[in-house]
Amino acid sequence: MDYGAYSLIMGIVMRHEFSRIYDEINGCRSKAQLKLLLYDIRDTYGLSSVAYFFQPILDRADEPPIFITTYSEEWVDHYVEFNFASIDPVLSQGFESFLPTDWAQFRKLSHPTSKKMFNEATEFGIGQNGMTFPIHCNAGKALFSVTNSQKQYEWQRHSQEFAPDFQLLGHAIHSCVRSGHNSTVDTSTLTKRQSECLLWVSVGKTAAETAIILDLSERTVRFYLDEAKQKLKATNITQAAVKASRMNLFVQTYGYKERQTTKRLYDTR
Amino acid sequence: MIVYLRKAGTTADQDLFNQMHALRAEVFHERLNWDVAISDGAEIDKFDSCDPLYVLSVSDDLKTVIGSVRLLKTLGPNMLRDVFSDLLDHGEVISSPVIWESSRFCISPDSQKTNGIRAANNRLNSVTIELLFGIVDVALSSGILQIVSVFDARMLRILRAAGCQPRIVGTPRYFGKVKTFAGLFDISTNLHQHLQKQLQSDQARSHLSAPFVGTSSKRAPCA
Repeated sequence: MDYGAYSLIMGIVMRHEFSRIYDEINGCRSKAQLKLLLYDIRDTYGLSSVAYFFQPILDRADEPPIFITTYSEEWVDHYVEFNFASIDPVLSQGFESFLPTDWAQFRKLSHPTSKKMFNEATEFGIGQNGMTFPIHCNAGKALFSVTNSQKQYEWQRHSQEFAPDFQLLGHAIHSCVRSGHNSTVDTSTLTKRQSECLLWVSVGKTAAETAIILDLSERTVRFYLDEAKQKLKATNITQAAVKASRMNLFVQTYGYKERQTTKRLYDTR
Repeated sequence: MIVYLRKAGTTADQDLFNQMHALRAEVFHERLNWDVAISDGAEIDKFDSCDPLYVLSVSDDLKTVIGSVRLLKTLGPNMLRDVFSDLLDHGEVISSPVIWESSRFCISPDSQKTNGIRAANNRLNSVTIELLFGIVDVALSSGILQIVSVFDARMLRILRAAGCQPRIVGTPRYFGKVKTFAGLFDISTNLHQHLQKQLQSDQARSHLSAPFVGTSSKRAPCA
């Protein structure tokens, strides 16, 4: 089979795999489930490791950093023991960056501790090549990192080809984590209908207008709004909308629309 | 040559930013007469404090800004969401990790003289092409699939002429005297190559001493 046909078929296979994983992340309800999906991403994309890290803005006792990875326990212990977090350029650069950061720039560093860390990482199964995607978040800083052990030129091609996937997957993982994160409200997320009704009302539509948009009766819309309000322990709808957006619950709704958009977007690449 | 910048790090960076804001004042206030706020000859709006990525076209000695454009994440504050949302239908929002917004696209009116290029009516200024290439280049390597933008008829023509194939979304409206569109175009390796070819042929035609090479764009270390 010539490379063109192979590439085309692989493209179709990967789009399907991406959609499958993306949908599973959006339906995810626990960190354990999410961790399994990280392994899924690792194997599907031929990576050496996948890692998600979230640091809340205020390092409160009830909001510790969240770390979900495919890293071995041994590496995590080693990382903690040597306090690599204090010198890891992946973290410091990643947090400040608009663009994804390629780890190649760090390997050129002469700082002895960083160099030692990257060399040791490889021994623990973390790939030579790596890329870290900053995840947009109002409540703190989040990162999504992937590594692999391909040759340089293969990595350059694959990292560019799959960069959109990693952007979307990282973001979906973050939404999933954030939606279950706020412990002061009902940890179950809103249903799609509750979320949709709240969304339209929060952008200024009346219940009647929302009913038309969603093809429901006004009474049903009011019912969903009431349920959403109760779930979020809000005193009125406006407060409910604010709480929901802060908890990133709306991303689930955008995510649904986004998935449809994404499928179309991929057709053009 | 393309330079990518965020917050001003060095004094040299700050000088480039000052030039950029002065250029924006000249283009958007003096020439186009848009409703923008000018202070001390500089055009700065609230989105400049939302941590954008700036794409600048600068002279080869890195001292003069010839063109600039601003990129914002659609997941955060952006012009379409916060100022021009009426352009979209039914409270629709464009917000995605793979879509960036481009705004304040401008080139120096002097650039044609600086580059020694006679701009034919149909041919786009090479600085325009360079800025567009700067956007597409960084978007392609960052996993961005689309660029969304709010623009006027002039910019729409430019995007079409450059081969970006912009699609209008929502419904165009007048904001003040300006007919305003929201549109997006796709990022692809095809578009990347197309712009690169245009850039290379422009460079050849203008007999510039530094021929364009694929990696002449410079990335700031912490962009």
